[in-house]
Amino acid sequence: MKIAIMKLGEVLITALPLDLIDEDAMGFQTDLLHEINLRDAKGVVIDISALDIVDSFMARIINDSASMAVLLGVKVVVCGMQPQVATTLIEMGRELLGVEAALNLDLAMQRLLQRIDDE
Amino acid sequence: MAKLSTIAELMKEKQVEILDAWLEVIDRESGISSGMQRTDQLMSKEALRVEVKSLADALTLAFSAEDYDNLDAPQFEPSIILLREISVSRARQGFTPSQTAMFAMSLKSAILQFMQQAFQGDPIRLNNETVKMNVIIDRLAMVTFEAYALTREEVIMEQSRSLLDLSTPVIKLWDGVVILPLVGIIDTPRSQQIIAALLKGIVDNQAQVAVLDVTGVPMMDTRVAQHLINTVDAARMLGAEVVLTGISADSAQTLVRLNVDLSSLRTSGLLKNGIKDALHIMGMEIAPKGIAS
Repeated sequence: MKIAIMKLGEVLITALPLDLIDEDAMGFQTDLLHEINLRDAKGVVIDISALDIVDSFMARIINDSASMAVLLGVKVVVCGMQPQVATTLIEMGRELLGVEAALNLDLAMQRLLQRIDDE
Repeated sequence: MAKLSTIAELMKEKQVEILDAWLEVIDRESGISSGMQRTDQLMSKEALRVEVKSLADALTLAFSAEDYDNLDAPQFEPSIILLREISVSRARQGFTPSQTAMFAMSLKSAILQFMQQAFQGDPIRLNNETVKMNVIIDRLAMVTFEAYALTREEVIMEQSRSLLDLSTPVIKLWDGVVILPLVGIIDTPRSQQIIAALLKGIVDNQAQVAVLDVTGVPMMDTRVAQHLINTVDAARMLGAEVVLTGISADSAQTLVRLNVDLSSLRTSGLLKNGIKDALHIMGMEIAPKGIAS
């Protein structure tokens, strides 16, 4: 299943679905990086509010995708993490710290646009 | 002196005297553990007398069996139930362990003097009955103490539960700002609860900044610091900034000596500065009336 990556102005917006399987996540990573170069995006928002469970593999995919996108010169914000996901990640000792986070899509956009403006 | 054949008869015959002697022993012994309140400060003489009387009645019944040194025998059931009830109420009223155990033990010295009188002419009988009485009262004291210890443990469990429930309020300080004052010792179950409460508070209030105040945390060490770092990391993953305030001078010294690195956190000594920081992040400030831009 392909995950939609939408373009709004200079920003790419994408939301990870509830039933995300590992292969799709890998595909998403490749797609996202291609889209960034193709559409000359300045920022990316990844909404993960639908994810009730994030295992270590998924955490790494999100983390790596963000680091890779940063290499391509875009700003990345992850938004909408569920509290129980944060608790589990802390307990596993796996952190999503390389990534800037926001509470919801509104705040994520606000933060991203501000950081793009700052440049 | 008339010869009495059984302990039960002795207890019936001399009921008032034994009660008085028993109460007197309780009264005399109760002040021994220094610094503690005396029995008569914790409960009235009348209430104590009623307790002692009802226990004596139950025991008289139990002693009427010939083979009275077996505590498992059914005739002891009412006395044991009564003793347990008494211990439970003492544990809750704040009696010391020795005061509670002494309550049953003091029957020994009270009743032995009457047994000596009653079996004066029969040393062998006196000896036998004394040994039996000793055994049974020791057992009764053990029952008392077990019930006491059990109740105290319950009290401790209740207290720690209520502490857990009460001690993590998340307060909305301003739009987008929550504050979580931490009070008490932070251990692993507590830190998990703190993380859960903080994350819920952040989502419920849609907060972008959380102030974590540790003024009420008595001791900071590597583990507490790690718990705090975890809490801050969890909040960051939701997209909220955390300001850690209320670090005392002692804590700061301890943390640096322990080589704990808190440089990844925003910290300040006073809650006041933490609130100022939090509002600054939100693009606001506290200013005197009329000067605010």
